[in-house]
Amino acid sequence: MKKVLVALALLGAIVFLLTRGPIDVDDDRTRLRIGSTAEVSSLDPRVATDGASFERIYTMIEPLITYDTSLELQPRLATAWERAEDGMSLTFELREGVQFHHGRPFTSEDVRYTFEWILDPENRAQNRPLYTNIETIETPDDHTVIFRLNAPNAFLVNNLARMPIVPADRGEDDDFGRNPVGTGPFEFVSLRRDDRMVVRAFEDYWGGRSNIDELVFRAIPEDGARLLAFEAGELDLFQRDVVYREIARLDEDDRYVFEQTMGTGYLYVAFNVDVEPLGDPRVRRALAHLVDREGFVDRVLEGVGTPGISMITPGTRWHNAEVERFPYDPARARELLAEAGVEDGIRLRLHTNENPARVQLAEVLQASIAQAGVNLDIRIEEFGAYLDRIQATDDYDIIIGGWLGQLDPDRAMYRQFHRDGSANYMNYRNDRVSELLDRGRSLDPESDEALRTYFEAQEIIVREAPMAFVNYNLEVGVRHPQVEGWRVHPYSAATYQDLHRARIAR
Amino acid sequence: MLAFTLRRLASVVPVLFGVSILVFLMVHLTPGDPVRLLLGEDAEPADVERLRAAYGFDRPLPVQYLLWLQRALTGDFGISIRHQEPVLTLIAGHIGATVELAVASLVVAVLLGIPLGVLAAVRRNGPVDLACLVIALVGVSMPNFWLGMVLLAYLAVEIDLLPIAGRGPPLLDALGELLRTGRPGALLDAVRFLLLPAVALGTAVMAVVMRLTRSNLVEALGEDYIRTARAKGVSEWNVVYRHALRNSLLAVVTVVGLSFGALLGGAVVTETVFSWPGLGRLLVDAIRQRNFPVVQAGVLLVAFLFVLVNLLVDLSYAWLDPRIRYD
Repeated sequence: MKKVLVALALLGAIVFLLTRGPIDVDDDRTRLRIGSTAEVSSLDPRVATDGASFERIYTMIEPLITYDTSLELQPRLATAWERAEDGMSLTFELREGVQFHHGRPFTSEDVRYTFEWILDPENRAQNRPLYTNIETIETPDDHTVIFRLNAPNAFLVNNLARMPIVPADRGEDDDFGRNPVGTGPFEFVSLRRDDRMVVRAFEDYWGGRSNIDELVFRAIPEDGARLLAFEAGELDLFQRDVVYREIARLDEDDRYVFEQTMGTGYLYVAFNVDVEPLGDPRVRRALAHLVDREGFVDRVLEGVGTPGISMITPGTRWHNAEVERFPYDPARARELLAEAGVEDGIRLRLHTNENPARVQLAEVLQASIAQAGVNLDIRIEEFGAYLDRIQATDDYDIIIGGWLGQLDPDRAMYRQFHRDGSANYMNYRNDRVSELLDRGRSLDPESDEALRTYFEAQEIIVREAPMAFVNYNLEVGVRHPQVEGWRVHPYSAATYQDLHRARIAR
Repeated sequence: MLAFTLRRLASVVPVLFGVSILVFLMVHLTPGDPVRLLLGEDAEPADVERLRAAYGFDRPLPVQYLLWLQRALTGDFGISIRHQEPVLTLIAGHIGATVELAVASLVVAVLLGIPLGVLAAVRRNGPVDLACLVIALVGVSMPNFWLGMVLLAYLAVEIDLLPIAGRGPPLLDALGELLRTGRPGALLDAVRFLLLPAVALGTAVMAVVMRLTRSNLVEALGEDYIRTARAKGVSEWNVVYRHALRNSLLAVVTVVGLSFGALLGGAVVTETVFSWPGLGRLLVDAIRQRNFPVVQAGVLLVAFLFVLVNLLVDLSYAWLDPRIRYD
């Protein structure tokens, strides 16, 4: 009996000690704990390609200009920028009095170094295609940079806005990707991969020291576990991949703040126009009428999305609201198919990858398209195999895929719909569209002519339906109410770039 | 003994060689290209080709294998395609967490499994034995990811006793801090994070250990020397622990040893459920991204550890049962 009592007392002591409360509150530093959907690949912005890496990079290393939450460009390391009349150069005025974390002042040389490194084919810069329009980079003085272009590209400034500036004297360090240096509001402290990363306030930040002393990023790839950790108070906030089914509950609960905003991407069904009968626009239009967009958004996405119209997000100035709509209409679809002379019972293949939303869309489509007498064979492939198929072969009829980061009309249309576009998986070739997309690059983006050009291209593409636009993505995020000054960002990679202005209410 | 050990160590070489060829073929013959996966759905074809060439993926497979082997023999396992950092650095950052979790699971399995097995054997056919049988059956049949989620739901969410995801300070660092400064805070944190994954992963092994201990002990307790010991007036405690249990442990050690190897490679699911930053997660991500250098080096390391643990198990037989000799 005595032994049992001793054992119980010991057990009680252990439980007491182990449950004394959460860690990392053993001092009075203010700290935000942030959930990440994936571990970083690299903290070197020149070689990273994934959103999870850029989310963290932007807290430490700053670009020349950034997107605010309305997707407007705002000055950061550059205070002003100007496009030459002929569109062949871009000039940036750089901010003065900016220090890198290792104590050296930031100059135009760092800007030149960063982009020249990326453009050098010897280096393994993964984002190189975004910058190949740059011919040379001039630095007339410490605070001016001029990019000279080899062809007009009015939207190059948007690509420049994405790239954080790496210090020239540290960029060649072997371990830059896991021990980075920048000018940002936070400086790097430690990274334990697949576990946690810590950054702390940079005392000499040009914009004033951060309100928050420390950020702790924790990689919790399981969506359910990340949400549980948030609800248990182990995380203060995170953006992306909030479990859809839980959103209604979170939204009603006063202990949490749920927020959503229009994103920058969409889900699509694309048709290979080189495969008969998909070469006939009437057939593609019929299939576009068989996509139940509202039903998909309500039932599969649980409302986290809005029905698709075109490749341009509604609410931005480039969105043409007058394009043709394709409401779910099986009767109209049958008429169009009959007009095109498509016989009952033809078979087409539909390829996609194992992403759950895409798989469910494939199944919904299979059912609705069968009503019009077309049989779909669904082939689900692992993502790597799927990419091989769409990029390296032409062996598919219909695919389901998605685009993210469609921040300007050039990025949203050129690669996908230009006849020579590198991601034109539909093999869509329309001379007028290609001409418009080429012209758009040489126009002043602020001009009415640019707007008319992209409106027309949108109108033609939607009408000819090489692609059916299923839904626009919404960006979602959660925070505890005491976290103030952070909002869900439409461009999720940039969501933590201004966390130094956040506050924790007592 | 020394000759045996050396012979067994030498046999590791062909095993690892075979493993490396198998892994190489498997990852390279699976559809999917690491460069395409890196660059995503909007890759420019020219850039895919440029990076493929930079990594040597445009060469014939046998050439790629030989080049890899040549470098691997000098200890150079290459650069991770996705992280752009040395594979060995990445693995070194993950192996500690996996070994820590595997050891902790075995500690849970042994600390619970052996006493419960002894209890069941001593009180065999009674209600205690039956209760242990039920525990063992449930423990063995429950998939560890499910047990993990149940533990999370009750102990971490419902009553908020333990943290939900991740790892505290590394256990060894925490022990070091305790010894250096005398402050147990870090160690407690380490254990708080470790407890649930270790229980989830260790339960199945615990059940096997329990049943093995019971059946072997029951058998041993029926032996003549036990009757002799009892006749000499040896206390029941000594009969069970000094005489019978020690002779029953051989099979248990085998199972524990083999389980350790399996836990190293098989903790993948538990690591995912608990966001444990171990080798399993690194490998699963690497396989998904066709990050060949990481997959090859990682699997090779797991194979090596597996063979090594088996060797240690064999050697421990001689210690447990002095009748066993290796020459």
